[in-house]
Amino acid sequence: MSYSILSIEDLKVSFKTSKGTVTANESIYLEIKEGEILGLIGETGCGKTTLGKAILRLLSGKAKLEGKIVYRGTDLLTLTEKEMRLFRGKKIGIMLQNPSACLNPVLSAGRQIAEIYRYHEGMGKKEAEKKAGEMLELVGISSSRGCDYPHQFSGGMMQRVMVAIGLALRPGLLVADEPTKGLDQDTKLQIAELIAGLVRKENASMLLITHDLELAGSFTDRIAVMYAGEIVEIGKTAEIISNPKHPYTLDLLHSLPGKGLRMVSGQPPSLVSPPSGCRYHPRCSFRVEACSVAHPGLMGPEGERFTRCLLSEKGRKKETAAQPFLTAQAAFRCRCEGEGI
Amino acid sequence: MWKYIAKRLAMVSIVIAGVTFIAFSAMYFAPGDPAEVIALARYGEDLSASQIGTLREAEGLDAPVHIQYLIWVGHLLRLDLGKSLVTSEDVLAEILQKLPATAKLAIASLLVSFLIALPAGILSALRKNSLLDRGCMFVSLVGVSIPNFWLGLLLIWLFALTLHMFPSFGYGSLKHFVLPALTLGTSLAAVTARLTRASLLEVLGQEYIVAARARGLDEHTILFRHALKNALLPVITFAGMQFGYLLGGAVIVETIFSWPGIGKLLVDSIFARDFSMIQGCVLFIAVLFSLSSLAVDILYAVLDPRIRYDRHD
Amino acid sequence: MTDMIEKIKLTEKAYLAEKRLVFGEFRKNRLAISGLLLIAVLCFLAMFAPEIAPHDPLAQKLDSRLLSPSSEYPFGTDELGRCIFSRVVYGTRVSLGIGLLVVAATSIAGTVLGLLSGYMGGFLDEAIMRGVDIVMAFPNIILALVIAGLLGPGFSSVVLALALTQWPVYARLVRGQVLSLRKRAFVEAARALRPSSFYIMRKHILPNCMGPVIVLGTLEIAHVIIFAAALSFLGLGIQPPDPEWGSMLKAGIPYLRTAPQLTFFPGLMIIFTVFSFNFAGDGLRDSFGQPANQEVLAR
Repeated sequence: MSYSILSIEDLKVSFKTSKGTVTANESIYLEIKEGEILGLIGETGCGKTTLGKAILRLLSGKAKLEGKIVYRGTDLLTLTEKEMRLFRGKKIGIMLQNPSACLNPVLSAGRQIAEIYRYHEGMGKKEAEKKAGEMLELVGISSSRGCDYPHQFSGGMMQRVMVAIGLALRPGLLVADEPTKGLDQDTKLQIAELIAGLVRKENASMLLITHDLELAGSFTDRIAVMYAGEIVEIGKTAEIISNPKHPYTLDLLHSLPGKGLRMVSGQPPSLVSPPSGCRYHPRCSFRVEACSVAHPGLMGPEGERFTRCLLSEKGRKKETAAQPFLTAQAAFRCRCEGEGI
Repeated sequence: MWKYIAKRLAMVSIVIAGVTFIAFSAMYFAPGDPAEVIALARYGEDLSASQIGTLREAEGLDAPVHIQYLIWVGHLLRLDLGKSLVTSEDVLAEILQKLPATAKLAIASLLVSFLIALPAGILSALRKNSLLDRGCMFVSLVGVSIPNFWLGLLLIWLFALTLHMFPSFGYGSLKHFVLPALTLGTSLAAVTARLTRASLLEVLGQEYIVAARARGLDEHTILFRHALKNALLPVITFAGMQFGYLLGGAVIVETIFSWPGIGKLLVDSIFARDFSMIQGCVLFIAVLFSLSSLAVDILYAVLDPRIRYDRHD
Repeated sequence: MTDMIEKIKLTEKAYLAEKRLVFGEFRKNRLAISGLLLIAVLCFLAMFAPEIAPHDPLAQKLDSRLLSPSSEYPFGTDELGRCIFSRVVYGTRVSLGIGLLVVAATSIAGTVLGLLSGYMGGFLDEAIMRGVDIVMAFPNIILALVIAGLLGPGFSSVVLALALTQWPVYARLVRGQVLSLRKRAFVEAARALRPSSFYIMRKHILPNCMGPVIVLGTLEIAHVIIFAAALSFLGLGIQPPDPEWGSMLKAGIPYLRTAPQLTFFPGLMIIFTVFSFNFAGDGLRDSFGQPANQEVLAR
């Protein structure tokens, strides 16, 4: 349980655009352990998807990746494109967002699964199709529908096909990007249970990228919260949910329907010129003056918990215990307790 | 899908009905009395008023125009396009006799254009903004701007008159095909290459290409198995319009190279004021074009599963 | 109510601002700028033809026939001893004249029909669109060829033949634009407030589909010039001795071996002209941010 299957060290992903350099991910440290499901949450545009794609180096040529992404001892960023292909699909599976765009409209679903076997395992056509059929059955689709085309499936079914593609070669790690986006409540749960079940059964690991806190809460072991391209808090799921330490996590929790449905106020910041100091300070209700100047590092661990906030207890210890911090920290804590989270 | 085909067929029938109307009214575009015009075409000199009167009655030109049209359409339905005013040959027989030459020229030109355009378009898209891409696209922009009658003359001057490699006119051996097919084919290639490039670039930007890459497929497989099938769909639709371009271009190229096809027949008939032949040619070309567009639409539906199955239920 | 009108104006303003930005981009677009410069050169040639041409384009000099290019005759002389350079320069007037006339007429007529068809829908739409289909069932220049041939050669019959056959492209384009604009919020909202169709078309829809029409019109000038030259080349358009590039090419054919300059230079001029308009049209399209339109490409 304690070995890590994937560890990301000081990853920085930036894109050059006409409006300037967009830094979609910055100083990312993330570890996924063997057999673990890690949730990556955050609002749209915070860089979750970029991180997911960066792991498999699927970003366009304009993206610049710095740092290390180590999969079972191999730094993926040092591999050639050809070596990288052996990891894609075979060792790390990925389910990209929006299955209706990710499935090729002119190829049948079965063929899009079968081609993985043909390409990676060198299987013949017949054999590959048989395996594809088995895979479809595994995700709950009758194998006879293998010759159907993507547009003939419903949204949930397409997502099942994506699961089949992602897990076709029993990869050690599955990256699932918003697997339940756009699905109704029932289907959402079914799909999530299907993916989590299969991953657990294979004793594989998963990075579940989602903006849905409830989903992350019920299917993950640990949660990493991302804001404006940075990880702001990471820890055990239960602890994060019951005791959020970063104000952003708290605000996210408040936006849940059962918790007052209070939206996080303000707009997510631009990644071209992120705010000075703590990136969350313009929207943070606990901010103190120092927040707009000092950019906090990821502080910890407290148990397994890391937090990127000047007001976290670890941070407070580091800073000379100044009065304003204490008061704000106390206010923050009070509010958490008051809301009963 | 059958519903889709039926709908397209109905549209094409309406269009063809309209086409017959335009073909029929062709005679009235010419200034002067049709009977006089016909007499002039047939006998080549002025006739007396009484002779024209007899001709008018014989040709049924004394009836009201709409009756004439109905009679003409009646003949059409029996595949009777009338007789040439000049040679008295049967119009349809004459056209069918010229058809193979035009068809062969069209096929040869399409071949030339695809042989040039597909590799150029695909390479340009794969190496977007490279020197090769810019070069190809510039050449194609120049290519679009070269009128095919000038290109034909240039090719004749270079390959026939100066290098003596190919004959400058005539029809028969394979050598005769080279210059006309090059003339028609290259100007087509310019447009096809641009379309292929644009279409492939769009497909390569799609998420399912990234998804295919995420499965570990190599670029070769992605291009040939995933991208091209999608990218060539619009190119195929375009082939239908190309066919129209070929028929139109054939008029000029056939005239330059004295190619015994329908295009030359049409131009000759216009000069001879041979109305029934003009009507026949125009009608034949328009119907051929409409049917070929229909065929392409059906082909598209067969190739694109989205259309193939959507119309199914 | 006024509040809502304000809102409509705002969304439309934003939409137009988006478009206007495009003109800023146009200035940066080298492709389009060079196209426009080339067109400016052509207009200059046409306007100052008498000053630029060294000789009378119609003056025959039988003792100086089929001369090669020299300082006296920059492009040489033709079979009747006329100065090819002067004829080519004067030919600009004819070709640009036909191109502009036909495109002006067809773009207006086509736009009106497309507006009616797209906005009114129903029977009118069906009728106009079938009309478009029927004219477009005749490929390329076939119909223009027949019309011009039957009307007899001359400037006006070329213009009429091309005008009668070129309007459907605009009608189709504008109809497509209208259909997509109708779904835009500001049109929907305007419809709710102001029931006069004419007003909405004039105020909200027409200004917003001008961009594509301008692009198409620029590219169409190129087509029309080629078509007109083709008609003259076949002997169905402008007749000699009037200086027209297509008919000059035709006259040069018998001398292709001995005096290729007769066909070479008029052809180059056609290419130059058509290329300029294609260039400008492509540049305009890029700065309007439209995808390469099949309809436009195919012709």
